[in-house]
Amino acid sequence: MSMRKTAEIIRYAFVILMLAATFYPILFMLFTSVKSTGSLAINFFLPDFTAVHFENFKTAAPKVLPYIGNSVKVSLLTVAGILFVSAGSAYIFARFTFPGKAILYQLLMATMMIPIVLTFVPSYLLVRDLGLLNSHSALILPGIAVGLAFAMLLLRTFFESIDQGLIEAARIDGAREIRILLQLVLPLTVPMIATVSILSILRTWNDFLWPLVTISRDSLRTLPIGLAFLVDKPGSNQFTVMMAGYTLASIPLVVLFLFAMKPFMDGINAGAIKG
Amino acid sequence: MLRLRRGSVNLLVCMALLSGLLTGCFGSSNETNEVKNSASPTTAASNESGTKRSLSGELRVVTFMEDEWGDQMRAAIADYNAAQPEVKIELESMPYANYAEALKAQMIGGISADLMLAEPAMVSAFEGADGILALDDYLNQPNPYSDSGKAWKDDFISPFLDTSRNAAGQAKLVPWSLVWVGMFYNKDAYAKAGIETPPVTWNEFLTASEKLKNAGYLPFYTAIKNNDAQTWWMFQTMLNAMFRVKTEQINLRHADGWTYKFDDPDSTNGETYTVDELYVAFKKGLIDPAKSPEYRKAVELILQMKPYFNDNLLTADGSELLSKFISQNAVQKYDGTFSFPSTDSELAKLKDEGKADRVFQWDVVNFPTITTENYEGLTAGGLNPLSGLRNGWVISQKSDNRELALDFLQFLTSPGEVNKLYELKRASKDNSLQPDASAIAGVTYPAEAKKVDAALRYAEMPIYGFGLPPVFDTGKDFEEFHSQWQGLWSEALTIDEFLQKRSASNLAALERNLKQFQDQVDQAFIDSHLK
Amino acid sequence: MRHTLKSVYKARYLYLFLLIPFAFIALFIFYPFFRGFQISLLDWSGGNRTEFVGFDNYRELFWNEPLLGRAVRNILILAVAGILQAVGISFLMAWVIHHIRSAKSKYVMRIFVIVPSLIPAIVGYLLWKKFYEPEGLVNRLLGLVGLDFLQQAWLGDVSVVVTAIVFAGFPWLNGANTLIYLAGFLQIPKEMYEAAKIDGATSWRTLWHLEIPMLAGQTRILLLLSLISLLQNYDNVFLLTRGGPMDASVVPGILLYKNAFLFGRYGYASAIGVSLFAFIFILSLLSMRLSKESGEKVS
Repeated sequence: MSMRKTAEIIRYAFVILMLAATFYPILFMLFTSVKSTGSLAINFFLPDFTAVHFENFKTAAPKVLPYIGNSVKVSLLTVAGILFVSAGSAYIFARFTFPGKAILYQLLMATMMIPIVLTFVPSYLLVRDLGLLNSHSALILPGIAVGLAFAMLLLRTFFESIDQGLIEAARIDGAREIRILLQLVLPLTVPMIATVSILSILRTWNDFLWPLVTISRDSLRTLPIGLAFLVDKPGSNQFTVMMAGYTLASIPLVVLFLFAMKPFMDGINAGAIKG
Repeated sequence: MLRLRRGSVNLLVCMALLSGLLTGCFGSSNETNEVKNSASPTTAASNESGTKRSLSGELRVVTFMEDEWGDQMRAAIADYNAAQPEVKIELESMPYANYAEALKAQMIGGISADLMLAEPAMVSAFEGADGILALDDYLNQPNPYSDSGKAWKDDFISPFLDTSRNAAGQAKLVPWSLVWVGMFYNKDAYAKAGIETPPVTWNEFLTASEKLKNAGYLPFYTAIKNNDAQTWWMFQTMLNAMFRVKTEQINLRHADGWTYKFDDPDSTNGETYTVDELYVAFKKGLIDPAKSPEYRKAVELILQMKPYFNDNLLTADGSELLSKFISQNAVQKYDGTFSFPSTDSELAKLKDEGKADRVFQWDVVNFPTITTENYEGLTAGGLNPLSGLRNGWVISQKSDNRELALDFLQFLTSPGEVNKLYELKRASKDNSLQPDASAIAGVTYPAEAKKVDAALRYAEMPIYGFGLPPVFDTGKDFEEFHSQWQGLWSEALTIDEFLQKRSASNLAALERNLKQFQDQVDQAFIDSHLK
Repeated sequence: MRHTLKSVYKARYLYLFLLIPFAFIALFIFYPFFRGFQISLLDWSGGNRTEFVGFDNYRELFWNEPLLGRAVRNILILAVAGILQAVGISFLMAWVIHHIRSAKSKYVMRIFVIVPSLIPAIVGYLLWKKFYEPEGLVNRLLGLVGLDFLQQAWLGDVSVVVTAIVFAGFPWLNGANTLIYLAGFLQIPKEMYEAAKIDGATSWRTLWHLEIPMLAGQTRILLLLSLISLLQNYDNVFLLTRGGPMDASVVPGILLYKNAFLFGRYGYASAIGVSLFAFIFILSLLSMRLSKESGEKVS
């Protein structure tokens, strides 16, 4: 066998092993979601195909399904907000120099260093004073603020790495800055935007304590709170139902992700040809 | 910088004016300095029996027990609306996980629900936020919705209201359900190990556990962690039994002519330990872990269980308790009536899965008691059955709808309505056989329900909170206890070191309580007794 | 000065545009932060009584908090290990995937790499809690390969618990970082690979002298981001050990959480929060300084 082929096989082996180990928790979640507590105690790690309890899903569903819509709405709006606010600013940081640029950027990065527990109660009081409690704005607006630094960091670096030559050529041709941004730069950034979107969604999706405290109307609640209803109370052990709930809760993310993958892939192909 | 909303300031002013007009002839019977915590009660005068006013407004009620009480609450709301059609009640539900933290944050923000279900251990957290109302004035008056004619507080089974009073002796939690905690045991395992009757005394318990061990079973599975209460329950009940002889020495402030009679459980009705009494008792060494011989003895006794526990005490987890019992990996457990339904249903599921050979018979008894054989000073009786308040209702301090909350709560806890709700529970599939016992007296239960022997045998005034380890708050002292308890069981701490640290934590907690309740604490009393 | 003013004027539209994100941040992050700082100067339990105590909370934290030293030590260990995991492993994975020939396989791998991040992380932690049990997977595997002497109560033993937390989550694949690196790999022009091959470079040399330097930008960012989030992080520790046993695995985030939400000592907790922020700030500055220097060295 050629060296190349061996190398290729090793690569495949590595990737498959890594993925398999990383996938076990998903499989565990699926196996457990259809077990009963008794059979879980007897056999924890491996699937039990003899006793499948789909009713776990029936128990978990009412605590999960109603909240999916809210989570999707809040996450999408937050990410849209983040992108909207950060894209232009990231470009400015990447391409221009102006007084105070370093300081402003430092300030921006510093927002990521502030522990959330520190600002929890003051933010809560602020949101109350703004009259946003019990509405999705209480989740979206602070969510945008928190996600901005991360998005701008990634986008700025990406913008900086775009080949200047192409842009210079367009400038020489007389195109205005805005046109450069929209027609030249933006399409190149689609894969990065898709990446930033996915990552930002992941960060807002699992937020639990904040939505729990700011929203008391059940119709507005997000998914993690629904899942919390499935956590054991003293005297009950519904670990298996909880796993069913987590399974249901993962589905929207997987679906959302698959949708985001397409533009990501298209962008990749375009970029690959260019590079 | 933390300002009240303008609306609530206005309301408070109005209520204060109104109360001035209405409560002229009515005096506050409790010496609580309630005025500092809240506006004077406006509805006190109007809650004399017979006069039911017509109310209107909106009320928010929140519970963490949607599955157990949701339908019944909705029925109660419907019934209430028959009497008070102008009141709109919104029933909210929150997860049990992080319930106390979330409600506390909401209380700080002033947007918590008006009427909230709570567990006794949550009350001190809410108090830190000045979030809940003291209800003594109302409790001392009759409940307009109750036919008993007694004061509202007397409709509840004693002593559960008194045991849930806060460190200043105020009642902020109106009892709702009770829990009895006992020892579950695997009958089949007992039979196989040659144990004929379940153990009644501590020594019998050790013998039985030895027999179980020899038969190849694990007598007890426990985790030394914050989510497994078994060892603290054993510990606290032992301490309570041992400290009983000191009741009169601790309860320095009491009703005239009161004496402690250990075999008359009703003799301590209306009596409670306040934080200043406890502080004095602690400083005198009566309940100080480092100085009290009882405390040390209790620790030594509990450690006798070690050979019969699982090996991995520090890595085990409380969430495993039920599954270990079901899979017969542990054949005894100390658990509450709230796990009757799940134990039964999990065994039933095993049967359905065709694993009938793994199903077993189980039963419950009171936890085996220490006797004078274990400690000679145990002259005021052995362990009481571990029964107490499981949850109750609190009313938000910052609520604009206090009147409504109170009225609905009185309706909800009236014996007639409670009986009706329990009828409904019986009719519903999952809860029919073993609902939580109610803290309201006079409720009838299904004949088929599992019988437990829950009545208190000895008069007892709890020094620590029900169901908790021996700690004086549910915050820092509680956390420090877990750390120290782990040290003790893993032998990283000797018994003496444990007692020293426990003493320091207890003292710090008492001092924090004194500071928190400084308005109600009588410093002169403390000084005079500690000269 | 005049030069600066002129630049400011020239850039006025830029500032205007930047106002939007900064307005968000000022309102929802800086303002609560300053409120938090104010609270750190008080003794407040959430109720009506607040008492100004100046820097007493800080004094108590740095002088009297028995868990502080341990918390800092633990978080540094976890952060260093976590960075190696979050950055190193993802780079490795991206490198391997990038060099796979079949585009279809790569596509599939790219999807599979991120799917595990889509399920709640808590499932993974609960599993690892189980793995670490005395009868659990880890000890059993050690027994199988003859390393019996290493078997122990991983999460229950004060001396190994931090090590156990470090190794939890094996193989530490961070899907997001891998994707970021992959995107970066794709940006390396094919011509450079060709040139390297013409020069007769082996894959190791290509890696060391072409790929790693070309991805320095991504590495710097991921390093910084990982550092910042790892220093504040406490979720995994909380789920695995809750800071135990006997507070052996406590980290600053747990101190902060417990004091705020369990003890209700908001003033003291805020002092912890502000101090933690300062700690993170200083360390990130250091790390940026270091990575800039090493970046300059390489190029």
